[in-house]
Amino acid sequence: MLGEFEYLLLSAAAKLGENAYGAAMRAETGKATGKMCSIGALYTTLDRLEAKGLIETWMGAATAQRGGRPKRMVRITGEGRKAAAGFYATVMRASRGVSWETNRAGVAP
Amino acid sequence: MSGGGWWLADRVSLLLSTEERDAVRGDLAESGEGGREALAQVLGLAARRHAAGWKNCRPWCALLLATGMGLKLVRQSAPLIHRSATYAWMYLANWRMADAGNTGFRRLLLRESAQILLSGLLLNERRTAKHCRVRCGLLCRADGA
Repeated sequence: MLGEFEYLLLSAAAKLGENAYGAAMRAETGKATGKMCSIGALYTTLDRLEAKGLIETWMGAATAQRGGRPKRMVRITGEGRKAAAGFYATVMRASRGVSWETNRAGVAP
Repeated sequence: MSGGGWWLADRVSLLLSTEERDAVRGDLAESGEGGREALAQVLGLAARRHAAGWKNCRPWCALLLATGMGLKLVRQSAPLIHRSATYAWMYLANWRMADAGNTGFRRLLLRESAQILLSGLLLNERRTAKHCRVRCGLLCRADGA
């Protein structure tokens, strides 16, 4: 079973596709949660996901925008997709019939 | 990427591996973090990386062993330091060049210097062992009485 933050990172990696790397994933999870995660949380979770075989990472090219520093690129693996889909299905099943799910339409944005 | 915060963040990032350091610095530069924020981020990552090393029992065992040995060392070296300091002070405070011409004095000085040096290097194990035996004997006698 994935953790919540692991799921967020897998979703960000899947959404960003070929452009998934540290700063972009941080911005993506920030958009989803409304709060930027710390670099420490991001990189240690990426390591954990990689150890579980759910993502692959490698050092990418350097860009001038980053002061000539390379990016740590991220790609979600087949196992990662399966784990994320499983987590999503579990959350959806667990949420069926609960008040915040049934009253979702009535909740003010 | 300038200012005291960035300079400190750069220094702290030396605790990270080369690849991670470059990636993190690049991410921080790209997201336009201020110096203080960059420093906090790098410190957080470095702390997490170092804390991860303490998740298994090996470093804790090493710490316990080192602490135990350190305490033993302190206990054993205390009487030795006392003796060495006393003799060193005696020679330094009462030094007279005329004494250096005396063969007996020279011999004594040499012996004491060697003793201080050797006992400092070898932690005077024999003396400590002797002290321990004497203490044990006294304790046994006290128990017997």
